[in-house]
Amino acid sequence: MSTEHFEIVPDNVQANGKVSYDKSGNPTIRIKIPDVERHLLAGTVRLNGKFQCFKNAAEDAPDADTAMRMTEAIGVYSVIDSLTFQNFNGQTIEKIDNYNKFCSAFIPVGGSKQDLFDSYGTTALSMPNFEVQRLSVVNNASANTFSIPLISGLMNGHNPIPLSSGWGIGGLEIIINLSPSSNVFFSASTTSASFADGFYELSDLSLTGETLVPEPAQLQQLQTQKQSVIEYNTINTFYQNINSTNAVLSMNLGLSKVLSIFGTITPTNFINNLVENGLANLYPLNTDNSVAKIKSVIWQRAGERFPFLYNIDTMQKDDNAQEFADPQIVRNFQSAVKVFSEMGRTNVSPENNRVEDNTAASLSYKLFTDGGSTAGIGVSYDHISNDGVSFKNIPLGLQMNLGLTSNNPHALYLFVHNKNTIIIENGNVQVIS
Amino acid sequence: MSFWTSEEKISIGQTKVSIPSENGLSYSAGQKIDITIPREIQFFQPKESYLSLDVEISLPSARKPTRLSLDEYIGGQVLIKDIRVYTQGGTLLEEIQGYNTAVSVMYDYDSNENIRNKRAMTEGTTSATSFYRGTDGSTQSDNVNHINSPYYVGVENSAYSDPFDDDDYTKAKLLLPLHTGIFQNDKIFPNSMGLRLEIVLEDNNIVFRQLDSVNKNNKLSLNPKFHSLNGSSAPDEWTSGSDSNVFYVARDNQNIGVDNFPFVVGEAIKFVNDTTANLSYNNASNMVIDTVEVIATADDNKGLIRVTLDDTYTNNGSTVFPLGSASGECYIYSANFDNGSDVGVLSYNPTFTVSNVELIVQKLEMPDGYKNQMNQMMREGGSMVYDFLSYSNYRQTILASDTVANINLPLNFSRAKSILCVPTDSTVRTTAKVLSCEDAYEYNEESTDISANANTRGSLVGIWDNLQNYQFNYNNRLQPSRKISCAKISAKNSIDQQPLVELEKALVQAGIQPRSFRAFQRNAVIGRALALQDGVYDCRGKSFSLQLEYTGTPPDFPKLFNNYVFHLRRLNITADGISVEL
Repeated sequence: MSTEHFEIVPDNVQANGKVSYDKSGNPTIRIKIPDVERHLLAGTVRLNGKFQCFKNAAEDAPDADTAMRMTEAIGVYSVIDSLTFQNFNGQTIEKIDNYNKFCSAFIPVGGSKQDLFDSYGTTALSMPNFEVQRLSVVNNASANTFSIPLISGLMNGHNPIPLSSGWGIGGLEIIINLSPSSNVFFSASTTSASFADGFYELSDLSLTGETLVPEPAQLQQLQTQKQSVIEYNTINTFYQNINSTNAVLSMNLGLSKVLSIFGTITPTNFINNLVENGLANLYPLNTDNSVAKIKSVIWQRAGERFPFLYNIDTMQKDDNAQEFADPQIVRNFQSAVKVFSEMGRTNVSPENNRVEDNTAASLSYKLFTDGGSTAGIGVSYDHISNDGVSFKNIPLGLQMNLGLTSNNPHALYLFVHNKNTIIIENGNVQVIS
Repeated sequence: MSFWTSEEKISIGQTKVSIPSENGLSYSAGQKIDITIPREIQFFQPKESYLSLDVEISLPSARKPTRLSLDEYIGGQVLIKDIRVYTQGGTLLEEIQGYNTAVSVMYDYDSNENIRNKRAMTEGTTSATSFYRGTDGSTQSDNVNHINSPYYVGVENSAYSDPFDDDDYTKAKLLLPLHTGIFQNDKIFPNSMGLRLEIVLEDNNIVFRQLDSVNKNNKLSLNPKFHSLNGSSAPDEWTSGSDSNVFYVARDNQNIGVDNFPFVVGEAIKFVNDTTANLSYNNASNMVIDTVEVIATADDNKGLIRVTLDDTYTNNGSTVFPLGSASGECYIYSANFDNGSDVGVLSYNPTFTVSNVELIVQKLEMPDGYKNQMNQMMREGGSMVYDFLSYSNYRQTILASDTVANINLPLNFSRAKSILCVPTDSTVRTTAKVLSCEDAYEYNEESTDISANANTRGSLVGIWDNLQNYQFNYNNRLQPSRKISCAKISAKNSIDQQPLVELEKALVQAGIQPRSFRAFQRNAVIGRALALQDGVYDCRGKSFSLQLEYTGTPPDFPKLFNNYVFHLRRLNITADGISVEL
């Protein structure tokens, strides 16, 4: 077998090659990897292009006085609102909603501070120091180049993906929905006046990667095979609201092999708000910006506590003055991404996981160092057998007692880590979750 | 298993159960904690099981307050002195004396920023913070994070005068992985005999640490620096013999806000000159902080922290020179343990209380077919074998006057892997002496830290103490064939590479990833790999000794050698019982 490189440009960009949610009115990027008698080496796929920020409609670059910031830990991943993979028949193979929100939780937990400097820093324009990221990326008068892997189960599962319509999935179309600039940028101060019409623009986009070309004998074998199966782990996003001292959630996930769940919380008025960071992962806040401390967390399956056969009572339940993040909450959150005892890379630290009021007398979340706030909740169901736990017809329950005594609704994004199976049979594709 | 890669394995049900301790609700220094994992939990994953406990620090009565924490490098692990693991029937599976010293070696040498942060979030260690960082060239400290500590609440960035007391200490929840052979094994543990853990808590004088940013004897240049009495852009001095009840603090070392300032209201303080080492002091009582605030107009509107004292004090020591003085600048240090000019002489006995002790066990439900097959094999006279890498501590002492020592180690392991010898300072020290580092071993002489760096961890860690060389003798052979020189490390200003290479091999064989050697001066460890790769060494019937030469500058401290011998243990589990094969 031999490999061949490819470079594909989006098929829906305008003549000037520029894409912007706010400016061009074209918030979707569609890229088609053709239906050919090859395998796609998914791990090699990169989305490449240029990323530039403007502080106003006149396309002036931000300067030292412009309080324009973006989420420094994820860089250019901030602009992707959803990521969809489908075949040419329109069958959805994988779809991750709130993709930038997922990345803002996943990258800091699963990657290190050093990763934010180097691997993510050079490819995705991230940087653990928010001011360096602002000055070098947001304020860069020239476009910044990026080249990012599309973090997802299909692309990172290390399975060669058969592209043929005869013995594979039948071509692969990647659909990237962009995020509005108001959810990408936020203010370094308390006002967005200096960049009220600020926006970002992508240009020179392309998708590169490698394909595996089968030998004739192998191709003949592939063409005669009746069925093939691809397994990969993916993310399904669920959105819920919290606005009370006792958040009780019940959800039908409809997924049969759930490996873990992790979630992040943001006040809803931060979302699509140029002053606040809609991608920040915070502990809940009251309207006076005091932290609404989480007192207990109970995960349930079919109404019973599972997998923790006990209540997770935090330090703040006994002592509301305690301002250190509860280690059980943190450990379980991290365990949902990687087995805790084996976790050698993580950016979660006392510097950026803080149960802190969002006030000047305390420390505003915007000033957290090392990549910004990394708060979250999580649970791991299966890190040994990789077979997961079924929530197909069984509801997931989540109870959280917290000090949210004011009317301040919060968005809870739950990312369900699930094992998916693609069955390819006689040219038909079936995805089983 | 990576996050995205799907692998097919036997389906295993996983739940987490909480097993409370059974012999009390709260525990203090020296007490024992018993926990039983009942045999009803047939299988569990030991490496993902951990001890969960709350710990609360109490200040001594009738003494000035200060911010105390548990050991900055091993956190709550310092509370565990010894640990024993039995079956429910009473068969001893492993016993580790000096557990916290062993964990100090593991955490000092298996360390990087990510791992330290992970430990800081869950195990009560502390890590360096940008909110109190050295700006005067000091070496980085992991014990300056008073801003965000699990042990006490921080202060907000506004003027405050409430004395710091026990109410400011909070219960810290700690999740401690147990670093024993069984509990660090990644193989599923068959709990057919039940397990019983006995944990003996450490003494009070070992576990506490004071911030490096208030300590006179360690990294002095990290401490807040005296600016002046007038807070002016033309700073004045506190002349010997003159009175004042207020002074200003320089912005050095990030002292830019009330929350950054490491001292607390009610804490006793003094000044020390960085050039002459002269002290300013008050014989009657040390100066006590009453109010901390930021004066925005000070220093030509640049702003300074102003400290108001609880009384007007006469500086009856040497003059406290202002910032930038050619006569030396003056650092502030905690004088809670000092009586006038005598440093570290007051008794100071903080205590800790451990409560809500639970073992969180990752319980596994194996498939019925697997269990049935195993039970059938056991009934038919078969046995199950479970190997794990454990360690035992062979302790030996030497006197400070011993310049040549020979430590005999009567080892009897059939599958030994390596040996780690930790020469700890066995001087009997009070808590005040440990906290102030007065008369402690100085592990290096970093000039930018002004004073030499003193051992802040008492008898927990190894000290080189002028060791010139060492050599093992086993199987009637000197091994290695040449003496290993440690003279340069002991001189505190250079590095001998051979002992570190030897140590690296020994750590690998002990299952400790040697990710970092930044602790090679402050935690002395003599290592010897007894086999390489997957090999083992049979120690039975063979002599084994460690020869040490302190033949240069005479050593200063008596030492307790903790000799941890890492070896493979085998559990033979049959229907009739369990036996341990060493």
